[in-house]
Amino acid sequence: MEQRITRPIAAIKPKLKAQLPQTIIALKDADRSFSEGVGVFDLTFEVPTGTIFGLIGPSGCGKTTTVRLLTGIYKPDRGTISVLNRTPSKFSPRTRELIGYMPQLFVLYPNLTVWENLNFVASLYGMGYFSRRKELEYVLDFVELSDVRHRLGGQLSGGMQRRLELAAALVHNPLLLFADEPTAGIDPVLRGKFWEHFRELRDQGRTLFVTTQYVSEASYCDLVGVMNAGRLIHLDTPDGLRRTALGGEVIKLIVDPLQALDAAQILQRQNAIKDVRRSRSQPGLIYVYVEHAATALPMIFEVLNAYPDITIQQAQEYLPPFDDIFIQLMEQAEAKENYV
Amino acid sequence: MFKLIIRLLSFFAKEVNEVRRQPRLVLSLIFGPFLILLLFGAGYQGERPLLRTALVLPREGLDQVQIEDLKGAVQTNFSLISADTNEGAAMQQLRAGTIDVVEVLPSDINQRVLRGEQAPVEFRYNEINPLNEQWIQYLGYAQVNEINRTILLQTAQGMQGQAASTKQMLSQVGGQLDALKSGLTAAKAAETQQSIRQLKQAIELLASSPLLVSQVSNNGTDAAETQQQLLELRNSLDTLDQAISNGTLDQQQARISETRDRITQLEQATTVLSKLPPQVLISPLQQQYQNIHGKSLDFMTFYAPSVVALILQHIAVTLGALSLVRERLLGALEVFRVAPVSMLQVLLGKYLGYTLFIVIISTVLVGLMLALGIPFLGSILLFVGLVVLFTLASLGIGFLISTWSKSESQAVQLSMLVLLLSIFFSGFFLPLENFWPPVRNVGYMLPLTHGIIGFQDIMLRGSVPGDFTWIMLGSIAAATFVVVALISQWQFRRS
Repeated sequence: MEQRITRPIAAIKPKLKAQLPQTIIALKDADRSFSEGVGVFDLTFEVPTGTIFGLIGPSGCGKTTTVRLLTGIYKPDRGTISVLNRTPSKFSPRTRELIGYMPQLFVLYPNLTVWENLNFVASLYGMGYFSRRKELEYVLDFVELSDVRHRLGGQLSGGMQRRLELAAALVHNPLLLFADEPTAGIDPVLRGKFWEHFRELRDQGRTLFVTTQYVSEASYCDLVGVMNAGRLIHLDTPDGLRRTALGGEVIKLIVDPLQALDAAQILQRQNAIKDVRRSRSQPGLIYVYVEHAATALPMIFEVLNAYPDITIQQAQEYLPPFDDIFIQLMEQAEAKENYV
Repeated sequence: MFKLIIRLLSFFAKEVNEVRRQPRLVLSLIFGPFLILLLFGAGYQGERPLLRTALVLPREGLDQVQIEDLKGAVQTNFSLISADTNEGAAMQQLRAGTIDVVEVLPSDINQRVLRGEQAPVEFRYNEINPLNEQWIQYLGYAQVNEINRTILLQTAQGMQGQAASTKQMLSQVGGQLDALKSGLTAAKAAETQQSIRQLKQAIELLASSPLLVSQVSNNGTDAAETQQQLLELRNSLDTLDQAISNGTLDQQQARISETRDRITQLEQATTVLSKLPPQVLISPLQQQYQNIHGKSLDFMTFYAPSVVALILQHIAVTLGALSLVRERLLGALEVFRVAPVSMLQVLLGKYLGYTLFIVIISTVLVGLMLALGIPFLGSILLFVGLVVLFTLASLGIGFLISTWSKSESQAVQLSMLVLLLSIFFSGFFLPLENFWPPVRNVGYMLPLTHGIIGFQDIMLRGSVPGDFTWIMLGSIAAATFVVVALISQWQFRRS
């Protein structure tokens, strides 16, 4: 396990923080299409200031296009987009200085050292030669690259390159960070570390717009948008998405395999319980679908305690992996589309 | 403003750092062409090709020209391998490539000349190199001229002998005419008549040779007039001959005096002619050369400014060509689009970075040239100014390639095309004046064309390059900058 982050990057100035709008990003019916029907369509969502917004979806679903719309690289064909209360395609240099951007691929220079790469990006943002040194030191510490500052960009490992990208996006101390698949192609430990960095940045009052293919990373976000085929099909908190996928919450109950059928039938008769399913691979395991696990759990104990033959060996709220939830959501969306 | 300067300088620092991380590239860019120049200077002697030649003599031999004189004339320009009458063997050698030229001499020079024809000397060769072909034709021309001169020399010597004997006859006849005037004895009349007839023949021979007539008329009269005077003298001699035969010489006293005067004039003219050196007679003019520049330059010195210009243009075009396309392929333009920097600032930054870098390179190059003994006669400030303008123009061409190219290899290929174009059309090796005027415009659009002239002016002449050089370099730099700025901004917006 690598060492913990040594120190945070510079804090946001309180005056600037106070001036920020409550909604830092807002899209309404935004379209941007390319040839053969590819693009993003009817994008309507808002991102509150000071949150981590995760945009999740399969490869090619339109995540990068959305980021490019929000950063002003693309203009929408239709609809309105507002970032920091400005239209992205008309960002002034001053507004751009408030934004950090971490593109999907490594775009820094392989023949420059880590320090020179950061120095170059800092000067692009007009940071003074002497004042930037402190910021560079901070940001290198933050992403734990201080020890390799003299190493060439081309000699860095994939993970280090992504961290250098993150450092480059943060070097000018932005309020809003767009990170396009920052964890793609890196190992799970480093991915966890990235999300630690992101949460830390969020806790400092920054807003992060992060796209990812890793559905499980949705749980690190405050708000998650699920994209498929260029459309935003769900927008909710991680818990909200789970509820949407499962139709509520799930309680995992383990009883004696011989009593499992009886217990399932008893619980099925309760009004507060939506559904009961027995596991085929583990005979004593029962999944109980309820509206709220916290209130349903005492009720389940009370009902089953009335039957002395049935002994509850284990009962707890079950949080299925987001991969399962994502598949569920995709299936629901597909079914809805077919129905329509 | 402060931030703008920081952004511009950021590209300078980035480009310099990137280039210095590739020392082999820099070394090969600077020292590669420099070593080539060194090798060229040490090895190239600028001499004509050594053409191995077989001389084919006519079977019946030569009467006008001595064989040894002829061999001497051939060896002046050609390397004589053989001189015999076997034409077939010589042609076989030519086809086999063991000799370069077969020179066939005509067999009947005299007869042809008498028929009023020129006798051809054939030069046969098997050549694909147009430069060598030109050399053969030029050296052949020079050689035939040399042979003609040898023939003329011999003829002139013969004519001088003729003139000397004519002078002797003139003197003799002059004396006899004096005797006629003072009273003629019968014995002397016959002797005088004999001399008059010999003189008539000599005068006819003299009149029939335009060369002799022209030489005799050197004292002020023109050749036609002299010819007329000779004919009149011959007629007078005819009359006197007739009068001696008829015994009516008493009635010809006036003609005797007149003829005596003419003979005196002709005697003076033939004296001058017979004393002139025969070389002066056949080649009255001689060439003399004077280079007001002073010391003649060797090839290495002459080509040094051109090589400096070629290296600088090639570096600038290559760096420019790879620059934007690399940023585009790397995806850096995407980062620039989100950052508070415009494409114009990116371009200006790159121009600034590369220009400063190339000024440094040019300093190194000129230092190396000075170490080789190449003179630098002009102003350093002027040179730096020209390097900057020349670099901006060359970078413009490079950036233009960069906006056009889809990949790095395409950019490199196009840069090499510009290099080829420059070598052919810039006046580097082939003078621009040798091209068809519309094609010359290709050369004028290349920075190297003006760079070579400017660098030669400053380094070798110590003078200020002409307005045309500055205007053309400035125009290329400005036009390419505008086009590159427009295209790259358009590409930037749609990237």
